Amino acid sequence: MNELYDVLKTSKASDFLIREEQTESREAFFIGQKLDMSRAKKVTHTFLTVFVDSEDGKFRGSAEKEIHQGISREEMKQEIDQALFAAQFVQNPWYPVAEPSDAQASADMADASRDLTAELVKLVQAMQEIKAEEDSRVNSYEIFVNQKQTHIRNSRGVDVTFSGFDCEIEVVTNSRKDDHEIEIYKDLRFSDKSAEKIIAEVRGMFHTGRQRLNAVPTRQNEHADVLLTGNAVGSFFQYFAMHTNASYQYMGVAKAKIGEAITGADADPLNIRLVPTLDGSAKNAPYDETGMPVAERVLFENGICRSYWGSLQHAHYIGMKNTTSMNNMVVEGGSKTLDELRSMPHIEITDFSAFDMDAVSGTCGGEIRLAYESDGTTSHPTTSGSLSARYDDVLKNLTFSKETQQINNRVVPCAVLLRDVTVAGE
Amino acid sequence: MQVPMSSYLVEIKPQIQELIRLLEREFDYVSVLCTDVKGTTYRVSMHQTTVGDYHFCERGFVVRAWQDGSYTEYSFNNLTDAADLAEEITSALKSEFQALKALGIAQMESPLVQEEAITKTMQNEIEIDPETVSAEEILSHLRKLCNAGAAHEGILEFQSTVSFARVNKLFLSSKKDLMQSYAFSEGSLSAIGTENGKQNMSYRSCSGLKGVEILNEMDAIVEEIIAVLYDKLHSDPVIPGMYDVITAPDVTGVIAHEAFGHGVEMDMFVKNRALAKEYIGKPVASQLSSMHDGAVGAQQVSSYLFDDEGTLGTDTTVIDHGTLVTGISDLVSALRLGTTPTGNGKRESFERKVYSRMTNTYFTAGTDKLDDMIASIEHGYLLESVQSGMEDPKHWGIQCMVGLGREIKDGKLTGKVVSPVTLTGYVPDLLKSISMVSDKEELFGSGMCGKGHKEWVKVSDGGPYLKCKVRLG
Repeated sequence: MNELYDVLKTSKASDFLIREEQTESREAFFIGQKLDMSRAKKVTHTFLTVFVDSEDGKFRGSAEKEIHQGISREEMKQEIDQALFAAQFVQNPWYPVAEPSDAQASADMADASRDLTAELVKLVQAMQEIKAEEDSRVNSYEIFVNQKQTHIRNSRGVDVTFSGFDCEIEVVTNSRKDDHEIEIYKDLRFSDKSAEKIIAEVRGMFHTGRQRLNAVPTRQNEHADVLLTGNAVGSFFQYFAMHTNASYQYMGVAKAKIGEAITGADADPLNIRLVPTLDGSAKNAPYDETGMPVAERVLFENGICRSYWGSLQHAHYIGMKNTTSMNNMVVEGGSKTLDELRSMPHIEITDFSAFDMDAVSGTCGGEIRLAYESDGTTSHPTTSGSLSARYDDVLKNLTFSKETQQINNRVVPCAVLLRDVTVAGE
Repeated sequence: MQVPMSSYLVEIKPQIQELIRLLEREFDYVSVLCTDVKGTTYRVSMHQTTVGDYHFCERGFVVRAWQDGSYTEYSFNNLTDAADLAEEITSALKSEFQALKALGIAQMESPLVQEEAITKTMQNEIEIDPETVSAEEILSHLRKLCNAGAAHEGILEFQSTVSFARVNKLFLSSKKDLMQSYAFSEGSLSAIGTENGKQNMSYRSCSGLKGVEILNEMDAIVEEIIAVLYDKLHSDPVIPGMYDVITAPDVTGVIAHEAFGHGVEMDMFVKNRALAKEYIGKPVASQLSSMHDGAVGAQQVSSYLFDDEGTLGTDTTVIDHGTLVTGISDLVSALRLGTTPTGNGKRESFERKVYSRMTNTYFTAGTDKLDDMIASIEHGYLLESVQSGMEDPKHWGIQCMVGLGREIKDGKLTGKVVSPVTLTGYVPDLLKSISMVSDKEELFGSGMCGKGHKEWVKVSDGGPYLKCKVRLG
């Protein structure tokens, strides 16, 4: 890093940014409960951005490049020259780079010295606790524990170092009834999760598997009231983050406008904020990739858009004074309890093949893996078919549960009610 | 021009050979994959221009070793003294393995690989080397495309992107010495437009074992995606139901990919995660349909000499006239299943594990003409502009998100468009319903393929137009 910094200081770059990430990992792969393979990793990546301003100062070009480990000073100079040459033809409207801030002193290095093998063993022990049940078992799983140290320096004096730690467990379970076996897939990402919670999540997958085995085909309903629960709720609320993003605002495709409501008068009050850290999140970091401190930010207050977020470049273009990146998002609960939402006739969709949210066209949906058709009192599991909904329609009277759930870096309501949407089925 | 070998890989080869010799004192088998993937992505949009490394750029090393009946791996990218590295790698791998062994965990059987001596190299050809064309020239061409798209009414954003990649890989073990250098490029155009408060997007791409010449292919796409965008802006939702449809080659490709691409990845056979394992030799599709996967079966972005385990690429017939023939396999899965590896062991990068992965996956062409296929449909849709797909290899469910469907009534396109469209179904029902297959196939290699929700690799897929019956929603 120091040599690269020195070379850049004497280069023709108007500004520059260096981000160096050192990652060390331990990984273990299992088939059933048997060890398939173990892996370890130690890598360093140095990413460089050079900026070149036009003579009149109105335009700024940039080029990004990884500077590989172990290259000579001469090779480094060549790489920088190539990037500078390309950057002069880019010519975007001028924008600033991050300036040093008081927050530099608060960099957290607590995660820099964990014993990764010990962390891996803890997670393996938790997974090994899960015994096969009569009709369900763990098919396979993969565990990753990663420790990362990030050092960011730029030409304006930003010089911050911070550490992070995150884990991933990808689990597949099987459930069987007679000759029919199905699989349930989950990718758990976190920085801290107890063995009890991990075991409970996997046992929940056994439950989902049993329900799918007993499911009947979903019936077609072109005017369904659908209750979304599970991971799709996180993707559903991502729509609001996209439309408050400075890049979307700059392109002119954003629906959210400061001071205006994004939901209808009959919708639950929508309150969304971005927070730098969240217990257990794998996305906690004090700075973004450009060295800007990550700050708390209210995006929506009672359905009214209060602020945007995004890169310094796009924030500058739309005239934002302060900006922040999105590490973690918190959506507050709504007006009704889960029990109240479930007490009306509805279709509760808990699992999709893949929930697709298209923020540009404002559509969402996907193939149903598991749902429950309910008359408000009794329910039965269904599978197959698909949901299609349009945000313009469902935001008018959007209702969501009081109870919230945390899915890695998002806290979102446990359930969202989408009224009068289309369910394709038999 | 012939793509040159990586001078970096040539330079470090003796050091890696020394590392292998040292590690072989501690392990019964050692191989090292060395990667040096270079490339640049240029993007010009109405609002912003960017230049940066291509997404899959990497330079690094992964050691695979066999100890006490198990394979273990170490990824690194700081090549220091071979003796120091050997000590560091041995210590990390042995301490992790011992810590896991101390838990009393049973191990999967992992037969020791028996390699045959082989030395081979491959360099492909492209027309115009991206390194001989300046950033100014490339950006200027993209800007021209962007301006042409932006000139249309109601366009909020128009983006033209091109990526040039040069893949250099070296695989070394005591018996194998393989080196390859190949180049490919990807171009794409996308438009976001608005009309009467509605907003939508269209996208089209091209790719191949090509250089800067791909820019010329992009010229023809501008008007095409503007037309598709306007069609989507004027579209209605589809009335859910079962329909006769014709899938355009990009939609056909995703059906191939999701139905019997992921479904026949043989690491899934080892884990009993694929229903296809029980259907080898059995009919799974219409007799009109045949499907291939392979690094040498087609010339696209996943065409190579050897995979990331040093196995030579092949051309695998997955479905032959409706009968499931075999799967596609990485090396360790093949050793466990007692089959022959097919050269499908791929990594996201040197930092990740190998899995059985697709290369170029496609249905082969038939004999029908598209006009005859349209004329044969009483009421249905021509499905175009695939967005994404998802499979369920144990249950054989399939989902494809498709950009639009063009209505066909009484054998003619009516001009009416539905959008978006979710295609769902049970894979054997869908494939057995194939009743017509067009006479030309086309492959697309601009996307990425994940395994689960991670492990992204380059693949291509495609095929001809297919007439089949599916559920749309």
